[in-house]
Amino acid sequence: MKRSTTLGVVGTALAVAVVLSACTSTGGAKEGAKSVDPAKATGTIRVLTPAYPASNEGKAAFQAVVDGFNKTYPHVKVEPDFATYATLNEKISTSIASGAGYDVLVTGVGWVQPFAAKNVFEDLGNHGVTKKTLGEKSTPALIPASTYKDKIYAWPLTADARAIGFRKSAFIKAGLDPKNPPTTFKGIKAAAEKLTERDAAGNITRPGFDFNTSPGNYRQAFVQLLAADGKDLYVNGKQNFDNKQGVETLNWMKSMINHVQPFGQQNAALKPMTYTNDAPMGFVGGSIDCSEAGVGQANCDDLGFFLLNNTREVEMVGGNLASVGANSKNKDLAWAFIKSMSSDAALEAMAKLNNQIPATANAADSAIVKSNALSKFVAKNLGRAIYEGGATNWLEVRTDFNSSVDDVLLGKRDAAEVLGELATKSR
Amino acid sequence: MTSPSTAVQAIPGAIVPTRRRKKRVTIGRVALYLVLTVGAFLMIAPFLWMILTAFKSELEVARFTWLPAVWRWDNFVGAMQTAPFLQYFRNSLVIAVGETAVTLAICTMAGYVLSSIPIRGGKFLLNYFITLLMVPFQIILVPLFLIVKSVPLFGGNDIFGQGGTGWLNSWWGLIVPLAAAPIFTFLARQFYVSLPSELADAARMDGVGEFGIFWRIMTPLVKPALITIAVFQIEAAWNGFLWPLMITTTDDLRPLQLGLAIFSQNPASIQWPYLMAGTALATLPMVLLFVFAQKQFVEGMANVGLKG
Amino acid sequence: MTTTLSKPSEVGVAQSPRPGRSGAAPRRRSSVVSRQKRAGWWMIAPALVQSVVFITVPTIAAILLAFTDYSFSGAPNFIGGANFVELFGDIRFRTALVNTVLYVLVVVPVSMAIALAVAIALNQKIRALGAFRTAYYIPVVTATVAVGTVWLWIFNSGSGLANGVLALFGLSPVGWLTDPNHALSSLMVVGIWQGLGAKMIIYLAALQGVSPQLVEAANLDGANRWQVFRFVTWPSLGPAQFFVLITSIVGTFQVFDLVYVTTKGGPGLATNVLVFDVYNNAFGSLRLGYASAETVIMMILIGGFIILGRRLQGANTHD
Repeated sequence: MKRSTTLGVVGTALAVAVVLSACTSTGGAKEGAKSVDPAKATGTIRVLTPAYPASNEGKAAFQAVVDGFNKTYPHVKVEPDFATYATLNEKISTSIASGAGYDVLVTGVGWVQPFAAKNVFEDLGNHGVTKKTLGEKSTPALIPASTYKDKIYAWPLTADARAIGFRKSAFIKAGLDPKNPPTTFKGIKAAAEKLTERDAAGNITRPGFDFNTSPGNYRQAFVQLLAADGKDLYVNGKQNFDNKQGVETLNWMKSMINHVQPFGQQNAALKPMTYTNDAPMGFVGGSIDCSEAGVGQANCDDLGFFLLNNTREVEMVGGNLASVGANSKNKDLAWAFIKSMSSDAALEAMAKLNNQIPATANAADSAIVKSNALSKFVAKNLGRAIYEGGATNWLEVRTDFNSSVDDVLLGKRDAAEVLGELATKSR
Repeated sequence: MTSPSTAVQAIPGAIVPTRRRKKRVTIGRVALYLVLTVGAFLMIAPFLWMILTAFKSELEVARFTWLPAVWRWDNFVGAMQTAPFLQYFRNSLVIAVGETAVTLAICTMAGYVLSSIPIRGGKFLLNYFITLLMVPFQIILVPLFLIVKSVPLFGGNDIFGQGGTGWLNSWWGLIVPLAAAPIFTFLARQFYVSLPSELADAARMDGVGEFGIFWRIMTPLVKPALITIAVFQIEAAWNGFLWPLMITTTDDLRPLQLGLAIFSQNPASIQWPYLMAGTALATLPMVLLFVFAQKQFVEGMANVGLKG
Repeated sequence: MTTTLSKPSEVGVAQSPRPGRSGAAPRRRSSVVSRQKRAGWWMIAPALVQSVVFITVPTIAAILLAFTDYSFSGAPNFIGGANFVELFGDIRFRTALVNTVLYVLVVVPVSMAIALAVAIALNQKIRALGAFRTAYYIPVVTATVAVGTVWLWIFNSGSGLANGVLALFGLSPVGWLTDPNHALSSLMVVGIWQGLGAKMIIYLAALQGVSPQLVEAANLDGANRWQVFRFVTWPSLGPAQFFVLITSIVGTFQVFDLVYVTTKGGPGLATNVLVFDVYNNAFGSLRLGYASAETVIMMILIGGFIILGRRLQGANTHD
């Protein structure tokens, strides 16, 4: 057994070394901003991005950005790492642990505060970004999602908006006014009840309102509805959902589930059921493909859109945001690359690949927005944006939210109790 | 294995027969075919559904239809043209062949030692390999990444493994850490253990070296085992996703499953028909491999009579 | 883990490597044995080195991290057993524990029994043998991402195949994956379906080692099918049983892909299983230290189950 104990000792020592290297590598040296002539600047910048699919099309779009960047910085090499949102955290966490950080990181709304707090993102104030400059070029709606402790840590690239869609024909058939769809909790519920169809046994055959949600994901609907009831999920990093509105919202959702739509019902393609007229009303995304390859023009023409407005009118917005890595050795180059990524042409291409809209102040002018009625609608309303997240431990709380909201909707637990518990976890 | 001989004793008067039983169409046989057919259908039904879906349009997937209105063969073409799939196929092949070669070389030797050579701590070592099976890959992902990045003298690293990228973005990093998984050492051991030791003893008396006994006497007797190990390892390498994703960034190294993730994790919307078409094409080589490999099982191992 | 290591004999290594049974003189024999041992160490060394570097060291690192608060920000701080204390008050973990144990208790015996039955059936001389074997093996070779999705469609509460079949018999639809009372059972079905092929292959290969003479002899003696199975086939499957049992326990304990693709642990926590929870804690919540502690408990549990499984499997297959 001697041999194995020796092995054990060596192994332990190595493991300690691994753990130690993990500690030392997160520090990161801060370097002063040197202004180097772009034409002479050299180096490699590593870009982690889930915003471009790793398809030929996505890579070409990214290469176009690199080509533009290389016109100004001919000697700087750009190394993309095409990740997806499903594996983004694995990529970021191993890069933190190994000290091989990225120079540019594209993440989503909700990621900014946690990673800013972990010192993974750099304060963009170092590159002259203020709320004012951000608001002028990008959409002001995403400023809160990019802010941590009053500093800007991310530059919004594209916005992924969510609205409510409805079928005009179904409304007319049910005696509802398609020009004046309901927007309050009460109104939506009354309309949904009228629109729900059942078989003789009482099973729902056509849901009156489609949450477009799989089990474990009702959190997003809750955030959107809560905001429409006047409460943002977090305010200045503090929870803002353990209150009367939170309970009201959650209980309203519960009163809809298995009443106008079975819990967790989705179509096989996991797409909004209103697109294919399998539901007369429900949550939709921010872009729709009206071509024959998509849902077809006939479906598009029958669709109308509105925003939730119980006590205020809101539009839920997610999206892609770019940050500079706090450990980057080429922060200025990284920032320059983010500027290349956020040119109008680049954002147009990115938005198309993501089924989103550019997160720019003049989003309404972009061709992708003009291409379909849904994007036009959500772009027009970007000013009413609310977002999901805001706490430094949001990624952690999110998991608890998912299961707890399910428990309430399925009648297993009480709404107030669950929200109180989540509030405790949110610190 | 001493059990077969006890079995003989349990059946008094056992004599090795020469007559074969006549095959007749009996109710039992019909039932056997019936059950097997129903079972086989249940097993492949999801697979058939996958292939049907591969021919459908996006809208047909969303609305649920049995058969596609038009059989869209171009889904297969479209899926393969979405990314450099030919290269992904090649990369997966390299990884599968590399891992399997390493596994067959290392695990058979280790398995043989664990089953047949009385080294000290042999029991402990077997338990060691079994214990390693219990470690979920997800939890060692981060430390493993650090180790692979710190391989000395590779990828610009110094002798202490610092300064460069080690085995990241390399065939080494893709193949070596995942090859020779303990499960295959264990599997190899379980096959060698059923061989009678008399064979090895006889060879030893004839002056055959230990490696020769392993390589020329014992290993040829466990051919189905080697094929089983190879089939399992190739399949595992072929379907590998998380590790290649973590350590590669370029198409020169990325395997098939990362290509297929383009469809399932597309940021715009999941492309079901392409995902199913791509998966069907990716699965085809594995099915063919099995069709050929399974014939080998029939040929038998440790041939007849060895332990009688 | 410690459990297994401290009680190696119970994990059933059992058959000690057999010494040569040649009639040589003791002295010569001992030199043969030592030469044998030396060769043995050389032959096992590559596997040992590979496993130590790429599995054992990372595992030890993970075990050390279990006693820290490492969450990818700054240095890990040693916090003693705090993670373990927190785990036992963590409803997610407790539910995952119960779900996983239930999953293992159902999937392991059922899939082993079916796999053995199929293997025996497919070891006979029947028509279209290759086609049958391939059919039963196909679920194994198809990537879980795709088959998981197909099962999602089969279980789709609105337009899925499963409810379509129920409707044929006039039964009302079931929320296979959306009803917390059914979700775990539905996943068990998929788990059994998916794991069948690999076990069948092991059994098939092992069945080749069953001496046909013995079977014939037993048949001649008028042994019925059950007796042939019980006294001839079953005993010679020992090593295969040992392998299949252990890998099944480990594999089902570590069920992850399936849950990740289909239910993400929901509805509520109805299908939250251990590795999925570990993954969530490590990469969702970025609490690697906490996730490591969870893994340590899980590994101890797997060790316990293996010991238990060996006991239940009985003495005649102790190899």
